[in-house]
Amino acid sequence: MKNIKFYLSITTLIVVLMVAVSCDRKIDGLELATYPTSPDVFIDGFSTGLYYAAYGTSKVTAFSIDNEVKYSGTASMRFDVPDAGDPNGSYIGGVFGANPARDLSGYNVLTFWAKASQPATIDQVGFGQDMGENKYQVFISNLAVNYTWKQFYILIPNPSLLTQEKGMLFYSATPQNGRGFTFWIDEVKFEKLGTIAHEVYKICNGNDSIFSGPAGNYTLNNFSATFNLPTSIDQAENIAISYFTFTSSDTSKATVSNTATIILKNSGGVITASVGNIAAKGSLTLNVTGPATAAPNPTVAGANVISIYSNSYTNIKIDSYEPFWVWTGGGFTTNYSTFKINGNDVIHYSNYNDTYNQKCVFLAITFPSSPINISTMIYFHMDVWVPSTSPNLTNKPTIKLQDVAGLATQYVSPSALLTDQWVNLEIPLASFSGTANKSNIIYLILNTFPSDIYVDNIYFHK
Amino acid sequence: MKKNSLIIVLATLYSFLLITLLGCNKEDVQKLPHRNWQLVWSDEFNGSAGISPDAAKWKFDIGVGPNNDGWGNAELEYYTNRTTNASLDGNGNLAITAKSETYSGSAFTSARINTLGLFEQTYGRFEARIKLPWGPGLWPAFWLLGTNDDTIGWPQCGEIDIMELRGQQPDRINGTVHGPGYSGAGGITKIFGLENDRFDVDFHVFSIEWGINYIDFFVDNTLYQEITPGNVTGTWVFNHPFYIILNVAVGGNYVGFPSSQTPFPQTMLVDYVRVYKDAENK
Repeated sequence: MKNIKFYLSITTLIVVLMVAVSCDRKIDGLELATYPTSPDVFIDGFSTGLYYAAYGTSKVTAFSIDNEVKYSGTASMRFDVPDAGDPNGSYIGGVFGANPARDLSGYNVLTFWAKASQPATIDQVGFGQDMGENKYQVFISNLAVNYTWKQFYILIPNPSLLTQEKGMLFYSATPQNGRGFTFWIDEVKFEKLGTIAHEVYKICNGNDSIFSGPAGNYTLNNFSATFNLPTSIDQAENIAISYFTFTSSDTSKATVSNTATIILKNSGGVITASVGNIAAKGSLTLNVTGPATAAPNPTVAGANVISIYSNSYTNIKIDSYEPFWVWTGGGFTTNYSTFKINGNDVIHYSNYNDTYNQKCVFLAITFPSSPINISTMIYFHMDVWVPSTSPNLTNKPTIKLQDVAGLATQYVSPSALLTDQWVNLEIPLASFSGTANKSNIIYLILNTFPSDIYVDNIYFHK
Repeated sequence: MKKNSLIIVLATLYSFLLITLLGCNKEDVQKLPHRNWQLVWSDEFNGSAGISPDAAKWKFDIGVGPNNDGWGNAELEYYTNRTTNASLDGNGNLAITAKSETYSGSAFTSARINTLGLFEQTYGRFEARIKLPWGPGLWPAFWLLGTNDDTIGWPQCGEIDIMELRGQQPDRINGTVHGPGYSGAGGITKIFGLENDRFDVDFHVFSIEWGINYIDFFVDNTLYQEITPGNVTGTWVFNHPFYIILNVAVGGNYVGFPSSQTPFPQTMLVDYVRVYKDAENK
């Protein structure tokens, strides 16, 4: 009985231990490794763990420690910018990294003092360049330096992210008007300053913007960051996109990734952003105006096709899909872009310069370096999608073919194009009128189309 | 005996800690004479967003000053009574907003309101809770002027600047008095600076306690300056009624020109202005 009690006790102990130990072994229960929080980067020498690596293409001997010139203490960092054309490198730059990485989450700004041998600008100084992903890189540009020491500040946009940062300081500088100069940096350290205020982050330049375009992938841009210095002047800085958190109001309409890639699916989604708990100014409302689905794939056998633009065929060599023709008195400038719908390439022509009050698409797809012989072809085919928001919807399109000699043959549609759907133009070449030599065609000219069109599957076939 | 020794050691340690801690705390306490302040006038600025401050309590100064000289200070703004320059913000604050806009020949607009003819008082506690604007060339102020300004002129009327801030120095304010023989740049003044903080990121309470032959200046109830007749280099002119002024000037002799880097618009938010009288008349 005594033994039984003993074994029961042992068993109980084991169970308790197992529960306790198994609890401890849960991943959630493990504490993350912590990193040093030391703020100093360079006060009078390399701080603990600090190392230097010059950019490979720079003049790698540019950096030294100066024991004569210093803002305070006994030494400063000296940087000698070479003359332009220096065979050892005509710019300087490098990274001061920390090993081990540091936890900078308790600070909000990197500060340092700088002066130079002459009035000059230092191209970039920042932190967060870790010779890897540079995920949390921040820098200020064109630092104006002079004969006297001046303090600079670089704000950490969301310090809570920097729990293991290797990039303590980086810089790059180039000659001034072709001539080298020297600058010094001293007292480089991370600080927690209450005299830095009014952080402002923007997307879309701070505007509530509206974008209308075809479904597909886009990149959000026009980011900026500013903060107010202790002198109450705003300082702009360039911050890595990783500091922003992007949000879509409706992921069924549009999604946005951490790297600001938007996938536009349907109209009405709104993209906003924040940095930490600060909402970024600006937003992007997205509307689909172009096709949400690709044009139907052609079914004509490739052997019977001369293709100008289609994923279904081998296209002839095209010199230009928009040559921006200019003639006496001006020309047309066009927004020409291509994008993919489910992997299928589509061309978008829009925003026509209306210098001549043409109120239409007018452009040429040119292929003079590989003239085509369409004399045995029977049809011209093109898929066109006209958004109902396009200007000049009543235009009746003209399709024109021009030969090497400049002679043309053309087809004028008797009606305007239907909107918000793929219109499959299948035009017998016999309907074209004119004297062009069909064995030597070099231009396909689209004229009097509505001002905003998407096109795909342009080919001749028999 | 050993136990007793331990008790003695612990008691000594405890006493040492107690003395050290209490000693530190005591140094932080300012001893001030007792006053029995009773609220006699206030504006809490509660009301709908966009409406003008209470006309029963405030008048507007309009324009560039009676002598067209930027209110005697070469200020650059044109003061208006438009709600775009002065109105309630709907969150319990008065917003005085300086804007960069061409208006009646000036490059900036702003607002300056006062209680002349509506409220005046000799002595008492005057306080306002304010979040200040920032930027080079901004000059917000909460101040008092003698009501006899019209009859005997400035600086004989006396001026008490409870708070003035130079926008390019957002971490410090000045408390100042002006009178005959100590006006303009010769005003009797002292700076109060925040340590590792600034006046444009949060509200702070600026106040004076004013009695016979003294004016005490406070920020967040910390006394940082006492001015008495012995401190001024002229006649003491602070024994008559004064009225209240709130304004945001742009430019001027005190602060210099705004620069292209001054962010506009800039707003001074005033949570309240309260005036007390000492019931015991000290």
